[in-house]
Amino acid sequence: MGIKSLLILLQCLGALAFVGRAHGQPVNELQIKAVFIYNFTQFIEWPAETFESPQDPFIIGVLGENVFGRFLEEAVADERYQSRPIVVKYFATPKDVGNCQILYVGSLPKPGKVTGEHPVLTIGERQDFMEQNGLLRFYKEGKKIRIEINNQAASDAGLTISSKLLQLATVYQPK
Amino acid sequence: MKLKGSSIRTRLIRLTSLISAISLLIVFTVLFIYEVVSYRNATIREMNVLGNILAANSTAALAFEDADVAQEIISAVKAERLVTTAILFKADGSILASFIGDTTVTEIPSTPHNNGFEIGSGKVEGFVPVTIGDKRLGTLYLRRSTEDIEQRLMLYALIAGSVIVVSFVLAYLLSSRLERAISDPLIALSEISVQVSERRDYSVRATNPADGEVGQLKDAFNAMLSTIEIQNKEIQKYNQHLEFEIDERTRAYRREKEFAEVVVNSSLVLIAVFNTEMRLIGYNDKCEEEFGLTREQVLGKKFDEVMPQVKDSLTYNSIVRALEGEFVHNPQYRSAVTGDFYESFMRPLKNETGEIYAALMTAHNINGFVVSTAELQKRNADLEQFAYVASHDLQEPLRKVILFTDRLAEELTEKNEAVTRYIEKIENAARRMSNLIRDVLAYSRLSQPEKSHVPTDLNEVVMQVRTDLELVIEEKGAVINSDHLPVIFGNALQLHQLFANLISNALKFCDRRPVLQITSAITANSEMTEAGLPLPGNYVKIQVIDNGVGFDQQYAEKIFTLFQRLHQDKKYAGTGIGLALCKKIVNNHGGRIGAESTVGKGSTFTILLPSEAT
Repeated sequence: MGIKSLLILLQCLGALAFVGRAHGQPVNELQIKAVFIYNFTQFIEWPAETFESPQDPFIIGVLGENVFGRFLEEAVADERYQSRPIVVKYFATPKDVGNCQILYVGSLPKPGKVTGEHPVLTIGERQDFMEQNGLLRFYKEGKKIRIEINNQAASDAGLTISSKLLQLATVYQPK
Repeated sequence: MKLKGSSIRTRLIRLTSLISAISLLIVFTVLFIYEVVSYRNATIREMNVLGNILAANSTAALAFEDADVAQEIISAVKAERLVTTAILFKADGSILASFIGDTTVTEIPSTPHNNGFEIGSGKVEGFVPVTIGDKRLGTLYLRRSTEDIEQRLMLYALIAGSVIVVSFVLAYLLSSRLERAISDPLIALSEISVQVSERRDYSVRATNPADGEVGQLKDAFNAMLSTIEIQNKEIQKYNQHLEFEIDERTRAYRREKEFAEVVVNSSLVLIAVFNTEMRLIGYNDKCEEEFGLTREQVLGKKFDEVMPQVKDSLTYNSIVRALEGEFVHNPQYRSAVTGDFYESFMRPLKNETGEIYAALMTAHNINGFVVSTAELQKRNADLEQFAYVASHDLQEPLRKVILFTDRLAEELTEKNEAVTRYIEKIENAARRMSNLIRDVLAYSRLSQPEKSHVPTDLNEVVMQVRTDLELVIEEKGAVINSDHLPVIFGNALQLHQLFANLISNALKFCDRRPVLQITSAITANSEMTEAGLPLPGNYVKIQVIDNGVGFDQQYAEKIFTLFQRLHQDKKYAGTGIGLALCKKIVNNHGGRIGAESTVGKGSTFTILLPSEAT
C-alpha cells in the first residue's frame, strides 16, 4: 500500500470524527452499516429456492431495537435483489422472527434457531458471534468498520459469497 | 565505353533500382498505416479489457469503500509497465484510490469524464464505469503510455528504410549485371551505326546475337544497311551516268555555242546585243571590223561608254525602244560612229516568261549602195537630158541629109545602078537613124515631168494604132482580134505608143501570117501580189498574144532593157528602145509589164494597169 492511499484513508477517518452517536453507536457508523447490509445483497447469492414465488420480496430483518432508524430503509429504497424489491422487517423478540434472508441481530446473541429450511445471513456485532455459529460480524479496527465472515458455514447453509466480498473481509476460521 | 552506351545503361539501372525502391516504399507505407491503425485499435481493446477487469474487481471495494483493498486492486496495473496511472472514483466523483506509476505525469483528471478510451499524444487514456447490476458504483480512470507503439513504429520505419536501401543496392547491382542483356546489343548497334555514318561504309553488319525486339532491331538495321548499300551503289552508278551525260551535254552545248558563234561571226551583217542596262553582251566579228573596237574592249560596257558619239543618236534611241518591246526598222540613216549609211533592225529578246532581257541589233552598211544609186540617178538624168537635146538637135541635120538625098536622086538623070543603090542605102540609113532619134526622144520625153492623166478609152487607142499600121497589116495579112477594152485613167499619147510598139513588134517578129489576140480581164489578187503590187487595188489585165517567133523565156526580163536586142538579124530591124519604152510607160502609169514566150510558139505580153485614177 502506497503513501497516497494512506493519506486518502486518513482523510476518510478524519471525516468520521465529526459524526454523532446514537444508542451507544455513532450515527455515522450505523449509516455505513445500513449501506453495508444492503451491499451484502449484491455480493452474496441466495439459492433460488429461497423464494417461493417470483413476486416475493427480499426481506432484511432487524431483531430487537431498531438502531438504524430510517437509515436501512433509505439504503434499500428503490434497490433490488435480482429484480426483487428489498424490504426491511423489524422483529422485537427472537420468537417473532419470521421469513427473512438477512437477519441483523445487533449486539444480541444469535437466536438459537433461525426459522425455516432456507438460508439466512445472520449479522451480529458480538465478539463471540462467530462462535455462536453466526455467519457475519461487524467489528471495528481503529475507526474503520470491518467484516468477519464464516465462509464455511455460509456455504454449508447454501449461500454463495463473492470472492470480492471475501477479499475485503476477515474469513473466520473455526477453532 | 561510349557516352551513348553509358546513358542507356545508367537509365536502365536507374529505372530498375527506382522501381524496386518505389514499390517497396509503397508496400511499407501501406503496412505502416495498417500497423498504426491496428496498434491503436489493439491498444484500445487491451485497455478496455484491463479496465473492465479492474472495474469488476473494484466493485466490492467501492461498495464497501475499502480504500486499502481498492488500492491493492488498482495497484495490480503495476504488472503492466506502460499503464502509468489508475484512479478509482467513487460514485460522487471523489477519489477512493489511485495508482500513479509515473511521477512525471502531472495532469490527473480530478473528476471522471466520458466513458471509453482515447488516444492522445504519447498516451491512451479513458474511463470505465464500475457497476454492479445496473447500479453505478464509481469510475475507473486508466492511462497508458504509447511509447511502445512509438518505439515499435520507429523500429518498423528503421527496418523498412534498411530494406529499401538494401533492396535498392541489390536492384542496382542486379540490374547493372542484367541490363547488359538489353544494352549490350543496343550499344553494339549504335557503335556500328556510328561506324556507318563516320566511314560511310555500308558493308558492315551487326553480328552480336540478340533476340526479342533488340534482335528484330538488329535484323531491321541490317536490312536497312543492305538497302542503303544497294541504293548507294545504284546512286553511284547513276551519278557516273549523270556525269557522263553532263559531259555529253556540255560538249553538245559547246558545239552549239561554237556553231552559233561561227555563224554569227561569219555574218556580213553587224550583230550586237544590248542588255537592259544598255551594256553590250554580244558583238560579232563584223562589228569589230566596222567599228575598229575588239570584243574585249566593248563587252560588258555601256554602249555610250565605248562609243560616246552614239548619245541621242537614232541607233541608241532605237535600241531603247526595242528594250521597251518595239520592233524598229531603220531603212537608211547615217551612223554617228562611222559616218556611213546603214540599214538596221532592232528587236527585243524575250525569255521564256516573256520578259525582255536584251535587244538585238542587226545592221548592214548600205553606204556603197546609197552612194551609187544617187550617182546613177544623177547620171540617168544627165543622160536623158543629153538624149533629149541630142536627138532633137540631131534630127535637124538628118532631115537635111534625107531631103538632099531625095533631091540628089531626082536630079540624077543618068541611070547608074551603083549610084542609085548607094543613094538608097544613104536614105535607109538616114531614115533608120531618124527613127532611132525619134525613139530616143520619145523615151527621154517620158522622163520629163508627167502630163496630167485623163480617162482614155483603150478601144480607141487600139483602133488608132490599127489605122497607123494599116499598111503593114495589109501587107502581112495580119488578123487582130480585140476584146472590148476598158477605159482607164492615163496619158493617151503614151498609151498609144505602148500599144503601137507591142502590136508592131508582134507583126514584125513573125514569119507567117500574124494572128494577134488582145484580151482584157480583172486582175486577181494573187497576180497582183506576184507582180508586187499593193493590195487592195483595182487593176485591169490586158494581154497581147501573138503567134510570132517568140524568144527564150530566160530573156523575159532582159528584153525590157534599153538598147537590148535579141535579134541581130537584119530581117527584124529595130532600135532596141521599143520595149524599154513600153516598160517606162507602164511604170509611169503605176502598172507592171511582163512577158512569157516559147521560141517558135509566140509570145504573150501582159500589162497590169490601175483602172482608176491614183
